[in-house]
Amino acid sequence: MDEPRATRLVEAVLRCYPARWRRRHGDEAAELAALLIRDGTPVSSVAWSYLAGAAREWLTSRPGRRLSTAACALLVAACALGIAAGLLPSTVPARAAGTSPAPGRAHCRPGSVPGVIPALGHPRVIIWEAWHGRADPRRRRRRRALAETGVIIVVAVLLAGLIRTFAFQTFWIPSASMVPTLGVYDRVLVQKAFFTWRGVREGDIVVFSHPPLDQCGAPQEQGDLVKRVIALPGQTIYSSGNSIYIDGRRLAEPYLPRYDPLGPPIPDASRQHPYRVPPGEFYVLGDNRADSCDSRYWGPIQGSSIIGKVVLTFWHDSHPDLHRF
Amino acid sequence: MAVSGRDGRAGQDVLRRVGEASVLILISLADGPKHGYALIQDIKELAGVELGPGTLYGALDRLERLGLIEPLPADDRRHPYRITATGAAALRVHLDSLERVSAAGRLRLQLGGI
Repeated sequence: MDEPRATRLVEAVLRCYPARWRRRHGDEAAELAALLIRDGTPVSSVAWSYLAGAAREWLTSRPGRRLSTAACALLVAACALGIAAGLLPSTVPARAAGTSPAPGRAHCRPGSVPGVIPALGHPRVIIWEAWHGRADPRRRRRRRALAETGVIIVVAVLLAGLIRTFAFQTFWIPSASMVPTLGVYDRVLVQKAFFTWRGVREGDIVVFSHPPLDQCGAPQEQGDLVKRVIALPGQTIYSSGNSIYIDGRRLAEPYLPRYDPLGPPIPDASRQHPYRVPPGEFYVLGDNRADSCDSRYWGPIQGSSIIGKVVLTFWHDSHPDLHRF
Repeated sequence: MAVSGRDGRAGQDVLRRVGEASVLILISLADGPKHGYALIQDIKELAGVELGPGTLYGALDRLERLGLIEPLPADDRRHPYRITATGAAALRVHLDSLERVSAAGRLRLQLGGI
């Protein structure tokens, strides 16, 4: 790295320190970095060292503030809270598109995150006030504590939102079309990060946005759906009796109960003229074949409409139950 | 007093919990005041440890807060530090305890005969 760029990098890193620290050590720290780099220390190692120092500086105690441990704990709590809020209350219906409408759908309200965090935030404020709020000179400290709590809440909300949008999202299942794998009121965790629809494999359970041709549910039930991927782009599919044939071979379906009637057959497909899934599209079916509105009704789904892959059930049959897929 | 803070009673080894970097800084300052860059060079020479600049300032602040070192008037951009009497005493206590531990360790190795 050439010298001006190295200097700029070090200056940028030094700006991460608290202002008080910079007033005190800033000039010398910049000079020291320049000297070290001149002596052959890699710029990156100097920058990392200062960055780690800045993190420590923010986290450890400063004069007149003995509650550094509490501050750390709050920060950790904020992260934990952010993750929890990102995973748990953000439940959105992943309508399994049962042919019969599911009961209790009106209870579901997506995105209850903002309501949850202030509720957890208030007791903390009260505790802090109880610690600090007695004498007059402490009012400033209390204000700072309040501000800090506010920042933590904001960070937690942002973190929760980020996790929900980009990493993981939970869904609940309002209908019976994936029974017995996913029952009504089950809750699942859907992986969105490090996921592309090109990586979807046969047998994966995926959540995808409502296909345009779906006429099964009532008009207001146009949310996301969850189904199992049966055929990949380019594969052929037909059914015979209760069995499904992919590319001419019978599909082994260990996830189905021993007797699972197919219900309606794969339409417009026979052994002689199987249906070929168009490129970029997926044929999806519900596990409860006889009572599932799926690709047999509205054709294959667009790969780009797949939101994520179900990786985990954490609520099954009305009690907490971890099951990985 | 700053020294008898959280670390407890006087005469106790206050340096036990401050970390290797702080002890090395104190040792380096024991023979005279130094500023940041000189400290890093000196510590590299005397202990073979390359102190990161980020670690350095954290340790200096902590030592100052404990009253073990004090800043001298700035010389241009450089801020030299000097060990205080408390700091020298604390360093002595710490080195004594290290010596006891190292003697005990050597003895045990001898007794073990490995």
